[in-house]
Amino acid sequence: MKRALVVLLLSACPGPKPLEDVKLDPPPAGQGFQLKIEPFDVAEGEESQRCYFFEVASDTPVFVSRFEIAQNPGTHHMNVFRVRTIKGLDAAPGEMVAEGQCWTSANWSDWPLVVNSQESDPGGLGDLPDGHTRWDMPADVAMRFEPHEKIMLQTHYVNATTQKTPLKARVFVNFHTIPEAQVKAEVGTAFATNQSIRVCPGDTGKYFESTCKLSMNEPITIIGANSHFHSRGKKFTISVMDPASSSSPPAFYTSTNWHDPPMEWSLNIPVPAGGGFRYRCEYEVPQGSCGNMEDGCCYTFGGKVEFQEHCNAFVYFYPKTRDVGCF
Amino acid sequence: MFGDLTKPAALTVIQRMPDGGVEDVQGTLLLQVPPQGGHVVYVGVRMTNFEGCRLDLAASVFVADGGPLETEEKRRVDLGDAGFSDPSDPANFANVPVCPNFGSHEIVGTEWTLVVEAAQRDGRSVKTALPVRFSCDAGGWDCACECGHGYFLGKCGSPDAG
Repeated sequence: MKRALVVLLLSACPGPKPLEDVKLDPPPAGQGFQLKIEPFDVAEGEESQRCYFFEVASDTPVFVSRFEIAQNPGTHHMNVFRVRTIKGLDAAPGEMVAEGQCWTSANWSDWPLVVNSQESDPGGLGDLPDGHTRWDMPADVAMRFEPHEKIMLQTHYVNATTQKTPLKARVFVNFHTIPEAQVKAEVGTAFATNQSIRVCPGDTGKYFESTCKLSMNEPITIIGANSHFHSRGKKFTISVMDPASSSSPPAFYTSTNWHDPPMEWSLNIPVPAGGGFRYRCEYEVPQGSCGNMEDGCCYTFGGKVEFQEHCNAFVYFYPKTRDVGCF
Repeated sequence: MFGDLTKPAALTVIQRMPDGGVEDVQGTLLLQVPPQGGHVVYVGVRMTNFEGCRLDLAASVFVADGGPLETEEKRRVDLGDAGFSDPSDPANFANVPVCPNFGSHEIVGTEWTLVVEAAQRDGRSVKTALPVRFSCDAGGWDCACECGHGYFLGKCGSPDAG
């Protein structure tokens, strides 16, 4: 009888949830629009980066107060940029560039950031389904887009040692809009990247810290932040840069999880006039690991997760005077 | 270790040159284009009577005459065998991000204060400050535009733009 009871109890325990493709309905008509990509496979042992071009389908400016993003597991990063100076990367709205120039970061060096996500692990955030993230901006604050503005969605999926893509790569991004009359301040963005980094087997406590100025003459408020590096990255911090002080206050953002870093969307961090933020990437590289065999197995900046590293910060603030890029 | 750690430490500020060599900084910092775009200056040190391994290197640029901080970069480096930042790799230098210039001050043509600090693992440190001016002589085609005050993303276009 006892054995039967134990068997009954064991069989009543739920097993792991089977993975399912993410779904995301577009915003209701007149309340926004959705970007989505054609799902694609990522072969075992491979990683893929693709750049999709879109146009804001509106004849008047639109004001976005919420982003909702849904991605299948295996996403390494997803960034949306506004297209500006064309160097080696371009396509018509509705078209896509796979690999090639989509890996060359200089191509988007003056393209303002719109929004990013690195939600890769299954496991819902509160009331959100697995693979979803949502960013609601503060009341009366929104991000402005011009009529027919060209934007680019970049997605990077990894199906190798450090990350797996068990399903197809799949991405949805909802832009939820509000009427212009409700908007009292616009949101600005900052994409900061420290690319002259080099970490080698046996390195411990190796760090790179840089500043990024957001404000010219006006105080601002940081409302969102997140970070990006690869598996040798151990700690990423972001703190306020006060131009009147050479020391740093405590960090308002910390990540010790390279593959699923915190996406802080509810910040309220004041920054003085002329200030910005400091971001710091710390690394530890195990002996015996190898990045570039032709460079002492060291890891330098690059998008290939298995043998390169990153040090990127994403910061969102208002009021916007202009979007910022620091590199 | 370079020299005698019981004697006062000495720090000379150097910069990595476009030809891959180094020069002592004597008032002019050369803006250079890194692979990712923008313009940086590569600031290093030559040390005497100091530890050279796992050295914390910080380079900060302030508005002259006690003005506010403009930009800063810090990193942990190992000095080369001769006691100075090894120019074989820009990663051995503080890559101070100067341009694009989103600020309100002109970068080129005005005086700034460069403060460079080196710290050993045990916390012993030495710092020096010197007046500098930035130069576009080794910069990219868009140096003047990108380093002008009030830059906005997309301002400078590309050399092939009509």
